[in-house]
Amino acid sequence: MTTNTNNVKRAIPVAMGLALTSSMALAEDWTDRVELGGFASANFHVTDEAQSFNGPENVGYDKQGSFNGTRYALNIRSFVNDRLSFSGQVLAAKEEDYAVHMNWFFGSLAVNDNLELRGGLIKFPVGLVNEYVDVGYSYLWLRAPAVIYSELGPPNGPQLVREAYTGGSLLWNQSVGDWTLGADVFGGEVALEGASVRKTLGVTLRADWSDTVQFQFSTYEGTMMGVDNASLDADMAKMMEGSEHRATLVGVKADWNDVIFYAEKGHVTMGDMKAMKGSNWYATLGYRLGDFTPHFTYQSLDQGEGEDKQTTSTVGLRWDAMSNIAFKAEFSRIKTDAGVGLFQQGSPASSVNMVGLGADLVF
Amino acid sequence: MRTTKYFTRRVLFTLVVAMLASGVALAEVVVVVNPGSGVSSLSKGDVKKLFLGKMKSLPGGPKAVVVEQAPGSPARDVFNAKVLKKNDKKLKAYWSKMIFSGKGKPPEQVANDAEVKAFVSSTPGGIGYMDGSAADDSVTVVLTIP
Repeated sequence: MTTNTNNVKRAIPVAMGLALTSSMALAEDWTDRVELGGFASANFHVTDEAQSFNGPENVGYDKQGSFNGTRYALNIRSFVNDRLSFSGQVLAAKEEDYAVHMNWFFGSLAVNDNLELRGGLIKFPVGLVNEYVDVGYSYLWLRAPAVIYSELGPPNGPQLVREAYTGGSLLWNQSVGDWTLGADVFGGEVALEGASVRKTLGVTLRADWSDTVQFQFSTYEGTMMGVDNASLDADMAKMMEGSEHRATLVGVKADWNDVIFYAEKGHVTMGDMKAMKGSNWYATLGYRLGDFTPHFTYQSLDQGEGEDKQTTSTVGLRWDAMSNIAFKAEFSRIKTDAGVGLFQQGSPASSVNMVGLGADLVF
Repeated sequence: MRTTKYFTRRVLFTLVVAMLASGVALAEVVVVVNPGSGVSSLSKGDVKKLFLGKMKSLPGGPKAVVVEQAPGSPARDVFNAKVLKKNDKKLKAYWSKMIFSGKGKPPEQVANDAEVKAFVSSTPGGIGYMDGSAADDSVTVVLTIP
């Protein structure tokens, strides 16, 4: 303890000295080098089913109604010089009792105009919208489609994308005519609730035509370790331990004049587990009518032969009320053909209705 | 028949007046760069990539320092509609994706043509847009948007 106090005492003048030197070395005004921004989303969902959908009661939605999904975040990016920058995002969410945590943070070194190296806690670059999945303002839906983006753990959850990984990546970008091509090779470790995925290695390839149509392909694998999740029975936890987790996703997104289209398909395996040979997909079509964008989404969840099968049809409306605020309303019908799908274990009705309302802003 | 003819004439007249009026309000928008960059012309596609942060340097030239005009400027509306093909809300959604995933930042913003000219002419690698009538020798016009 004494040593600690001494260290702290010694560290303070050093830190002050460093702060002074760096502030003198930097531009006259630190605001030239630091950028701040933030976003917030308020969500409310209610269903006509007692079994909670897309997570346990404190995370998902049931007939009591819930504000789960409501979140607030701040972004900070500082430039050390033209090539080196640090970025991070702190986020507080209703389902975590608004406990503020680092959602992601990384250092980025631009090797040249086409190559970038990153290290830190990095958003998982798999899935069309995963890197900005918390930013409700940036897409049509209240929440990104659950059959791909749900964070629900096995055996129910899709296990296709992860929140973030601790590790490094090499990003390449090249513009060729009207196309922008990109590759993101990433490796590291993913921390999950009651488990971790070690030695995760993957690649995402992107092709973007004139910022109108974007194609994306991702594949990755990792080893499940330290599986100790209360929601799993002992046999399943044992089966998962040390198993290879593999997933492949393809997606296309188009934003042409007033038409918006998204489609993604993902396939996952976890060792030889029968319940984890999932193949899920969704498609969304929206049309901008001034400040209003009505849209339709169909989602399909298929966890393998003889396993859970579920579809969700959603009609929704986004209203861009102001330049940085959007309001959203959705109605969904969830049909469960086998098992429980994304509901909690139990016996949900085969057809469940869900209503969602929300507001998203960026500042 | 007569009514149709009368109607057609009226529509034509209105169209001509509207075209003239818009022509008076705004001649054309030009994209300008710092004369020291050595770049003499740019394609619409390259300009779009530069303004969306997908291209970092002027082709064959220095690192680009992009400047845009603040919402409400007539040149901004023309440039965003014809080159970026995005209105302010679409553009806001685009940059919210880039900023909040740590991938990029929107261009520096200034108020009007005069400020764009001052910024571009004094910044190596500077690139911006302005009404054609505002361009002079202190900047190089690399693209004209009719």
